Amino acid sequence: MFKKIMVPVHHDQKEKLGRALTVAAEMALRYDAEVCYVSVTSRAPGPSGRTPEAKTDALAAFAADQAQRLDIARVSSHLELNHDPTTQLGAALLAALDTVGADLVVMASHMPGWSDMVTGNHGGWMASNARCSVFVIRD
Amino acid sequence: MTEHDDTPPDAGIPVAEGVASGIDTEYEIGQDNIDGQLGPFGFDIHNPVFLISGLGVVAFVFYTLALPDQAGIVFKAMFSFVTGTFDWFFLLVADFFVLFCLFLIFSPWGSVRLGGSEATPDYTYVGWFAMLFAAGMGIGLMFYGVSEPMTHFSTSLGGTTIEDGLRTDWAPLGGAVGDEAAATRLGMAATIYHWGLHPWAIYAVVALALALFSYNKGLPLTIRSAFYPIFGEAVWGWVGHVIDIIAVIATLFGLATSLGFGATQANAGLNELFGLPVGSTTEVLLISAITGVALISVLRGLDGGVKILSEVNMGLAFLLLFFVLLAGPTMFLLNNFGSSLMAYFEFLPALANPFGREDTNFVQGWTAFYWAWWISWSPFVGMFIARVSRGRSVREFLIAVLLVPSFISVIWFSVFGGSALHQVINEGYTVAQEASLELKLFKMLDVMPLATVTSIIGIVLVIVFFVTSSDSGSLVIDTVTAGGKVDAPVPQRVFWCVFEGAVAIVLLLSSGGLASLQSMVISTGLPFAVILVLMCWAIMKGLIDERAKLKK
Repeated sequence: MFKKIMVPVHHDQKEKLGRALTVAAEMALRYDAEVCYVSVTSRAPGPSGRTPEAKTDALAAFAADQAQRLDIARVSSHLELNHDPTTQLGAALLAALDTVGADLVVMASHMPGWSDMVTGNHGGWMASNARCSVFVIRD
Repeated sequence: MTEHDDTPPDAGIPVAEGVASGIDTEYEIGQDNIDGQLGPFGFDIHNPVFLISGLGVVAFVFYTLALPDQAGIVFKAMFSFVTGTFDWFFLLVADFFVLFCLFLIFSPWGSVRLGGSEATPDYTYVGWFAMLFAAGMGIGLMFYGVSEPMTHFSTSLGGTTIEDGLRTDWAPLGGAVGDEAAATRLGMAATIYHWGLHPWAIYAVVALALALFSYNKGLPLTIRSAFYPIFGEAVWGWVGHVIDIIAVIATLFGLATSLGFGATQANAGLNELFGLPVGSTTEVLLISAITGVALISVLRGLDGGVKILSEVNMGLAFLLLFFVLLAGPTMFLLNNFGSSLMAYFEFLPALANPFGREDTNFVQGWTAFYWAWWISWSPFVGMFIARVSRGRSVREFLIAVLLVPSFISVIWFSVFGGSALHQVINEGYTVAQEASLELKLFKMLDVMPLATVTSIIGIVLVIVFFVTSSDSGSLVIDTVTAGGKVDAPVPQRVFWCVFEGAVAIVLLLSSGGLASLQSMVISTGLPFAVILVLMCWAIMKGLIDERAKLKK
């Protein structure tokens, strides 16, 4: 039913994603789908890496770790670079979705630290704007 | 422990894009941050920079409000001491920055690319350039475009007066008593000197240091990173905290005071055009409106807000420039451009000479004042320029930050100043000459065709330039107070933007609060000037290191 599942992860706070990661892994097993972890970040140095390359590596390492921990057959990762991730997250995720070509998005309703009253929740936003199915996990 | 910490520590630290030489430090970006949730708002702030900066600002505001007279006296004394005693130092370091930047353009180190040898630019030339200009001096061009050439012209024409062996006139250099042509040339040269290479060299040094140490060396995008080569690991401790806090306080007060003065000036313009009442009610409304628009821009982010507004403003500014050029005395203005540029080069050595000057008032009241002002603004503008300049080579960066804006300034001042001077000399229209500073531009446009339309464009430009300063300022302060993280939660930016507007309103309503705090801000130019010299050394060290790696 699904071939590729995109899972947006916050590049600096991956541990806070909770159930979205588990759900994605279980669905991948059920449908024999690939899981693609996507992270939106700027090119400036940050906690997960000081250069875009280091950030890419950190995300790939995270994906490999997930594969091992949750027994996922095929994983991949994609780093979406953006000038201003805080305000352009939604658009950047849509762009990433186009690039990776996933047919399902599994994401937490509120990305930790991203949500607030002003910007609304990105899960809901993605559900109404993405061209594929979006599974929003409430934490 | 977070999960990415489980990955091996060598998971790709330096190696930017292509070749770059990273700095090995134990410091992890965001390690001093506290993040959490306050009601519905998430936050991620640097401890203690955020808190001390915020409280420091409140403390200064309280002091100015509680003891306005004392604060006024203290800050003004500080200001006159700084610009009066250290005028030679400001002139000397500014000259040095220009020479340093020109040297780098032509040196082999100019080929080092910010972000690694294979990095590609984040922004197109148009977007990049519009943002450089809007942050750097957009607003100044609106207010000084007509008034400064006019002032220097008038004082030069008045010649010199000597009392007790000291010159009491404000003429640049020796003045040009009674000679209108010579006074025009001297006036234009002095103006271009203040708005050309020197201010941009100051910005360029700060911006280059930050971009180099963040994008190539992998340090967090915050002011303290530029000091890594000087203080080493200590920059992550209190030394760095103090540097960041001073930068935040100087930036916030710089923005708040100029927002306050800007509101006063926009009010005068609106009164002139539409008869809007002049007074604190209108000014508070104006500050609130400007902050409101800035807030929308902040929420839309760098690309959707600041960049678009900067581009719109650059378009409008060029429109106004071409209009004045065509509707004004076109041939005279074109000639004036050439002769002003020539005059600039002719008088530059004398104007830039830091020692043995006789035109004390001009050197201290104009040049040293400007240099201290630019320097106190440099953490803000420099950091913003760094943020948008990744992917450019050092040479390209310096040409764009130093030479291109200087050239545009020359065009701008020779057209606006030239038109006003032409009105005085050839047409006998002296209303603009006699008007107060904030009205000079509008009085000059008054006698040209379509005066209402152009004046409205003028006011829009003034207001939008304030919006772009306010939102880019909030962006910069937010990044510094988040320990160099550029993706801290949005409410923090909103906080700084609103805070800045609130400080401006409080100061505006107090008597003399704006002026005395502006004196304080400009006084911070002195310690920063010393710091900037050290930065040049750090840049050189960083570039040599970078190129050595590239050669291998």
